Amino acid sequence: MKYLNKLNLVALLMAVAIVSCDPLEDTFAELDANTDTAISADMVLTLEDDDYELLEDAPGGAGAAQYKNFDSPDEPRTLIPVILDSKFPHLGNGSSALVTYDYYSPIRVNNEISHTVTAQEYQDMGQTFGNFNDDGDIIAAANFLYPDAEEEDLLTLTYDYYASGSVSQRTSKVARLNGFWYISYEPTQDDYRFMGQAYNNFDSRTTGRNRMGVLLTNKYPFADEGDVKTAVFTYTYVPSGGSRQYEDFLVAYEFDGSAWVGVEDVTAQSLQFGNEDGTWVPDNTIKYVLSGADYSTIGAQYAGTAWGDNLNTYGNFSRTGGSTSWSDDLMVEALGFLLNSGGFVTTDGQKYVLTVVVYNGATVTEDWSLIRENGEWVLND
Amino acid sequence: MRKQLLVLMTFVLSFATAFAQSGVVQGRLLDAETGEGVFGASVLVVGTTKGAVSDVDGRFRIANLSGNVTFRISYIGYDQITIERTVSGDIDLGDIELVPNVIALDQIEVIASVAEERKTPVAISTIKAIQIIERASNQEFPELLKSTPGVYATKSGGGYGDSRINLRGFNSENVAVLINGVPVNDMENGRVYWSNWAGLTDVTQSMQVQRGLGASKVAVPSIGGTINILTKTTDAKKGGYFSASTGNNAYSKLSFGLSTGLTEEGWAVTLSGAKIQGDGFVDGTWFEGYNYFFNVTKQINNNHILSLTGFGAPQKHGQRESRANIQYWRNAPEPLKWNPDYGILGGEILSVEDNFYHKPQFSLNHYWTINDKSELSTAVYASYGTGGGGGNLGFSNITAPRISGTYSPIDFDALVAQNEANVDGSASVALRASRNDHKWYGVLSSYSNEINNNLKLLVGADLRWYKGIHFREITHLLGAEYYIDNSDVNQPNKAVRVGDKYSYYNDGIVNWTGAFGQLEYTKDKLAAFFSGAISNTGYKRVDYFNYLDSDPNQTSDVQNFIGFQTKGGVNYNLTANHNVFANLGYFEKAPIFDNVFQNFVNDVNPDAENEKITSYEIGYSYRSAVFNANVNLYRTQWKDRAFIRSLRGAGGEDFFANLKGVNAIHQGVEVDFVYSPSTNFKATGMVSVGDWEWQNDLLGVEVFDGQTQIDGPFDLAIAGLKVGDAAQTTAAFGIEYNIVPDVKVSIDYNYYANLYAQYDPLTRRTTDVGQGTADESWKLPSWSTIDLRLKYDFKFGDFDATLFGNVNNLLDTEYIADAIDGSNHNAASSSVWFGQGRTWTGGLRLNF
Repeated sequence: MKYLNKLNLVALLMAVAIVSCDPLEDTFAELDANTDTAISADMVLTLEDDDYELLEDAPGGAGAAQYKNFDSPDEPRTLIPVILDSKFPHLGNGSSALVTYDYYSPIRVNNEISHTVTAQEYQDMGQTFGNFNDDGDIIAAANFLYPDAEEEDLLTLTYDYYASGSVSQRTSKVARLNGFWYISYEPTQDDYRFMGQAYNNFDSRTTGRNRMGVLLTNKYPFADEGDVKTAVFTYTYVPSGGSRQYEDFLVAYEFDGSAWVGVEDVTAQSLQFGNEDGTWVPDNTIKYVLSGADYSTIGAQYAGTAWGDNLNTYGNFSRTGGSTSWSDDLMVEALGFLLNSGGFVTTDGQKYVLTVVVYNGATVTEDWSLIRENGEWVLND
Repeated sequence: MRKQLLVLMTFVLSFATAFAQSGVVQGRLLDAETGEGVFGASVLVVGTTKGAVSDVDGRFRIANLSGNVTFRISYIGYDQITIERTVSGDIDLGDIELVPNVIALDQIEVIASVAEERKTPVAISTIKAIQIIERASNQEFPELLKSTPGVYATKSGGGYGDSRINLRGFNSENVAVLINGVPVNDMENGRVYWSNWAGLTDVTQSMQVQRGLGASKVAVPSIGGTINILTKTTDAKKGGYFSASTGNNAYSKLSFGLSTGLTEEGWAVTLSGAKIQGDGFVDGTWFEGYNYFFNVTKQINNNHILSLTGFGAPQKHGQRESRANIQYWRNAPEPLKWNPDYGILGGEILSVEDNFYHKPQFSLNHYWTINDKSELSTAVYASYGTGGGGGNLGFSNITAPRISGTYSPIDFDALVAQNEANVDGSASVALRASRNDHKWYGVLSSYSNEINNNLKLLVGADLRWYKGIHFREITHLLGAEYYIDNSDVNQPNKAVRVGDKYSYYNDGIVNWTGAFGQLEYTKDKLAAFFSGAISNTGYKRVDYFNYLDSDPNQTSDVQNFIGFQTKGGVNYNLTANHNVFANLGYFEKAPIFDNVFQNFVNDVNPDAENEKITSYEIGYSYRSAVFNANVNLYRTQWKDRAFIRSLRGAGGEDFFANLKGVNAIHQGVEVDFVYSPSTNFKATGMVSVGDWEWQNDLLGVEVFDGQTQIDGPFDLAIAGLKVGDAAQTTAAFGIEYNIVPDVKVSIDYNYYANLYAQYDPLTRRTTDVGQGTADESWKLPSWSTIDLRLKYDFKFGDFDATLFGNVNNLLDTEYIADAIDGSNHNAASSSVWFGQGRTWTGGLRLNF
């Protein structure tokens, strides 16, 4: 009897143990349900020809499929999600994709205007001598005369110019680009010869753009990186069944530090997409992990406070709730300070997800989502 | 589950009934040295379920015996004796002398305030050397206690010595730990660092958990309870042992012990030592530890014994400090073993998080028997702690480069390359250690006087001086030549090298003056005591880095706080089997050092307040030779828990907000039993059900500095929230069974439920005044584990040999025992460690 009882005890214990031997089963199931079983990935990719061809049957996608680029601002926003869905059907919520694509946005003369500055206009512009004497006067005149100019308008301006003790009549081609007027460089006959042209024109726009770049680099080698210059050369062609045409061709150049590089008709641009519950939406969110220097930047700003000194000592944010702890408000303030400290995108609407190392009893990371609104960084809920 | 436990309890309890036979045997057990009655000894009738436990006078009585009977009499600290008799009618065995096998055990028990069953009115559980030897393997002090009521113990990150223990829901700051009566809680922050004592289980004679107020006469932070560890003292007999064991992950342990026994000249020397090493169950938690113990005792004459004891357990080990969310661990190739806190440098393992410590403790004890009525016991002790914990400098374990993907070691070679790219030879990344050295001296003296047969007076003094030395040092420059540190105002832009101090350097000095007194009244079945203790704690801080050497503020003024405790209790032995007790206490605990000096500078928090604790408890116990059971009900109220926030004052100066009036209540019931119907079978069990909650909200808190509102209004919405970090329901059952006399199999079952993730109540702050709702922190899934032990005793030449083996977490159960609550108070947002999987040890012990 007694022996049997002992066996019963053992059996009971074993039974209890076996029943409860996988205590985390429900927790794991709950976690799996939460994540929706979707796989998420953070991708960086550049669209290839094959990718554009996926748009062949998509509404409004035929052009992109044919030319392997997009040509209106809305196209990448609406069509890239189609490509992503087609290429990565398994990716779900929380995924992100930084997509680089070709954008066709050629610079072409919009409205061509010719104008000769009148005496009255010199007077209205405050030019008491009735002429201009530097480039600034020419830009000012374009602004004064055509305040409502459109992008890529080309103004051929004829004016009197004072130089070296005498006044002479001159003509400049002033181009409107990105909201500014630029006095465009016009090649001389010598320039055309230097560029290997027998006549004062080009019959290939690509050759013209490339050789003009070399010319400008020769003539203006001491520009600053990022400087913009426009030029106008003569482009000639014979339309089918017609007679030879000559027209002004506007090109823009940007100095890359060593050479003037022409702005191509097709440029590479990038757009960030996020996957929200299975749908790809355009997103400018930048995910960023704070570097050691970032902690120092914030630490220096808050040195002298209990939390700042704590940050400087430990190299992470105390989030224990104690005396040296960073409150939520302080975190937003400090991270906003960092984003304004240089090297970050600070246009309104820009979103960041910042990964920071914190100590809350354990050393863990927290992700902070911030968005810039009206020049301020605020929490992006 | 709970129902099954209940069935089991009822089942075991039903064995308690006795059988009716004829003939009474009685006798009296006396201490062979002092001639006093031995109380609480077990008298067992071999081969039956009958027996008795001696009363306060040492008397015992067993009825209904007949024929040839063998009595086995045993009690801790005495040699076991066997008596054979043929019983035909009533027999009086007369006075039976028990010979002590340990010298001066009584005296050390008085100094240490060891509680006695059926006499001291507190709830206790005692674990003895034999149980420790059987279980210890790779278990540490906290885990040895996991089957006792009110205890919640975990391995935390899994490093050697990194275990933690909570008692009745209170963490180590509120659990007093005494080793041979000497308090070892950190004098500044009140915490207990078990890694200081890793491996000391080898030399432990007994370990007693006194729950609640406890029996300690000296003032200790016993809110949750007291853990009273007695090391070996001096063996009265000549002998020794040698033991070798091995286990999972290259665990190995070699240990020995030697005793001369008491020589004719009155000298006795005991020595022991051990080496323990292994790779650790968790990746990168390698360890190497030693422990040593010595005792030299001189019995000068019948009235004076002088005893010198020294022990220590130097160790170094790799740690796992980083917690992470569950999904992070699940994604790891080996979720239970993964550790992000170590790396590889030149092919060798290098831990970012490690720990090294050595805290030898020496004690010279003098026991003076002044006369028949009075004794004076004095312990003069000194302890020196050296060591600290490693960590990162200039990089984060989370974002550091890794050898091959997220779940691979940190690539230290890449960090070295990063340093080598610095043209000036300086380090931008390095390894450092936060050192926490200390020196501690103390005197603990107690004088007892038996005023009459019923009344005993005990008075004493408790003096301590402590200096904590805190600094950071560089431990590895990772290929660089120096690191530039700018935190010492006396030496700006200092180039520091390995072993140099940087970042901070300060001393915390604590002066403790305490006195205590206790009156004990014993008459027949009644035992009562009343005790009081008062102590002054003086804190002083010296900051060598934040203040110029010429600045008088480099050394702070002494800040004094008076703490006191009063407690009393009554035990009444209803019959030889049943007793009841009650105790009641109130004490005020001085604020800890870190709550007095804040922000790591010499700024004094002028409003730091004593915490106030009220506790009462009733208990019932049943004792018989085969069945012992205890039932306790307790209620502890903790008032004005220290909640301190550092804020910016109106003029930009630092300012402390002391949020007062936050109270917690811990109440519950604890049941435990031991059932041993025969010498070859023993069942033990316990169930603890706690109800631990924060009691009240703080509403519309506004913090003012003069006329200026600095913070608030905000609510602290915590009323009714469960206290986190310790399982509120625990249960344990164990069976020991001798298949044949020399082979014992034991199974231990432990169950844990109602564990809420740890959280800081201060973070439950809302500015929607009056609208705040208190969200319960994440409740972890309940779990259970099974441990298995095997022991085989045999003769090996002239040696008594024992072969033993342990398997912990036999079923390889995956569970979570440590969690920090996350923003959404659920599984997904919490930061956790997984518990350890199946581990094992086995070995051989030779006694001679």
